[in-house]
Amino acid sequence: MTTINPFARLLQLLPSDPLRKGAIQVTHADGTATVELAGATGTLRVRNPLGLAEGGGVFIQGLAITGQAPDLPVVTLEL
Amino acid sequence: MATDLIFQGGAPSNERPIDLVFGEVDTTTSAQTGALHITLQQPTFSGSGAYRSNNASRIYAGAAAGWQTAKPLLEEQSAPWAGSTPDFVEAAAPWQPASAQRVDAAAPYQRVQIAHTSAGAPWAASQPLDVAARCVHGPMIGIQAGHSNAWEQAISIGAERTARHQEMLRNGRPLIQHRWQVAHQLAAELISRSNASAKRWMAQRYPWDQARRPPAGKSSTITPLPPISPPCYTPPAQDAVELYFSTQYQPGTDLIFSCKLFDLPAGLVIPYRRVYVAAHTITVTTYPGGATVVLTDINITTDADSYCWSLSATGPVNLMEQLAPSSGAPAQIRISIDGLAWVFAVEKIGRTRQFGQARAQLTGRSTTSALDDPWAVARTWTNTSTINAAQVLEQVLDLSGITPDWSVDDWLIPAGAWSHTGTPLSAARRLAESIGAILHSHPGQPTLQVLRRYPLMPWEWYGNAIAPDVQLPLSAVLRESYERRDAPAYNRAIVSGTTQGVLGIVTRAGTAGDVAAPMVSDPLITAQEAVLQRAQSILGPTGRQALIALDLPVLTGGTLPGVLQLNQLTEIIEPTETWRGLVRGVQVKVSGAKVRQTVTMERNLA
Repeated sequence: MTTINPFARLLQLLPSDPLRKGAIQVTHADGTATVELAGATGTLRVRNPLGLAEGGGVFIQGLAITGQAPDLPVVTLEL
Repeated sequence: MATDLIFQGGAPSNERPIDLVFGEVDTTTSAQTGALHITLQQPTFSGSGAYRSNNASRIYAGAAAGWQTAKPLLEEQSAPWAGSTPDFVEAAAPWQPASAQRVDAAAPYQRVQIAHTSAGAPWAASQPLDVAARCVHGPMIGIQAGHSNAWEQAISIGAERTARHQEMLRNGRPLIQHRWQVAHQLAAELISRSNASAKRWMAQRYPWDQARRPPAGKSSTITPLPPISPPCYTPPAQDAVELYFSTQYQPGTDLIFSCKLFDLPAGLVIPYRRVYVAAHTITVTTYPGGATVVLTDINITTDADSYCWSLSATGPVNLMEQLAPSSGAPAQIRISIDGLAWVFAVEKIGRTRQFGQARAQLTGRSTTSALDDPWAVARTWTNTSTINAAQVLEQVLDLSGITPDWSVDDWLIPAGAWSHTGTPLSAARRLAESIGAILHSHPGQPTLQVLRRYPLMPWEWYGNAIAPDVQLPLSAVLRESYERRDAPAYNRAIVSGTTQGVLGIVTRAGTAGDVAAPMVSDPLITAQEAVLQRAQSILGPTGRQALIALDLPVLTGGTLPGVLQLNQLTEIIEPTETWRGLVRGVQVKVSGAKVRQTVTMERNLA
């Protein structure tokens, strides 16, 4: 983001760990799962401490599934 | 046996020679005669003579008069005559016999002595004097004849040599001086501004400059036609009608349409002037008291990521007492610059004392800082029913004395989606952050504004139908600084709610949407309006961009913009280009009677 605010620029430099959404594609025996991110923007292999099953929507933060996520209605827009 | 003869006594003298004869005197010896012949070579005499007189000043003066304008003789500087020694030539100059002074002394003006003769007979007395005077003429001629030997016949040759040498020296000097004078005029032309710019515009707009020689083959017989300028109005398809009004509705029946082709005029304009003169009126008072406050070096700043205007200033040390907080509330001051007013709550005030000098420094923020620490306490908010985002802001600002100014698209927040803990300001900031909006404060009123980060997307800034908010020429800019801020060229944004709301996939129109920005999830993305506004803040600052800071005077009155505001679409007219940018930061500096503003603008170079 283009900003001239020094504090905002500092925040951009700091590492961030945003909350992501996705759906579990495959669960693995080592306690991890392959998750496809929402919007089909890629896949991640993350820890699955809750043991969630395949196919469900999940929240991901810090390369770990933090909980189930509901399926939200999708809107496709153009700017 | 040897015999010693010892003589003693007086020395022999010439007067009395004493002859001592031992033995007999030879009287038979007779005188001998002879001849000696010596042959000597014929003597030869050689000699040379030179007459030097360093009295050639008349020749120089006479020659210098006639040859000063002869330019082509510059080429003769490379002539082989350069080796000859000018001293010799000067010595052989013919005009040396200065004995004419004697002639002047013997001039026939001695007739003045006729005054003597007036007493007596004139003719008798003058004759002897004439004889004496004429005698002078005789030797004078003789002297000239004596000097007119063979050396004086070289007069003409010597005159030519001196003439050439003097030309060569003289030609170099005036030519060098002449060239330097021309260089001064060229420097003066470089200072002028408009000449070069006009030519460039002509070259860019000339449509036929790509003509070339026809290639080999059969040439076309179609004569090119000049391009036809598009009409002012092109009706859309299927009998639809678009109306372009030039002004807003005013009472009456006149409908004033505008031609879509022409640029809409900007609302605020700094016209092109050779000189900008501004006399500023700056007043600082306590608020709401109205007592005068003495401040120097006022500095007022804000930017798109600050919720308020900030003040830093210095003043006399008695400000410590005048602006001290009373009963837990900060003192407020009102700064007016040419009618543009800011109200600040004095946040910190301190002083610095040293020998002979005591200064107070203060910082302040807009009065909306009453929503933040240390004047507001943290609390919690939740919504138990569906509520609008604007209503959330009103709840946050309730009973605070700060009024909301909601300038973004409103959206619905279902029950349970809104939950926050913190100060009221952090709640308002959380709300604005969810859609990427700008949280800002009105400079002079206790109003918290929520502004769109991009009123127009960067690719919509240009066009005839888009009128810039402010238009200013480059001549009004005191200083410009340019900084590139490139960013990835995302063309798709994925914005999602968390437990409620929608998942939005927003693609920039006209692109494939193949470069997606990192996904953003926010609990307040609960409606399509929120998705769109958040996506605007993601896709706006992408691609090739620049931050450009312009130092401008503060010009008020009429259509002059005064201090620029955030989000104003500003058009800068440069000699070679015209570009537009969005105001992202403003800084106003007051130093004495001088007021300057530094406007930082976001420019998209795509």
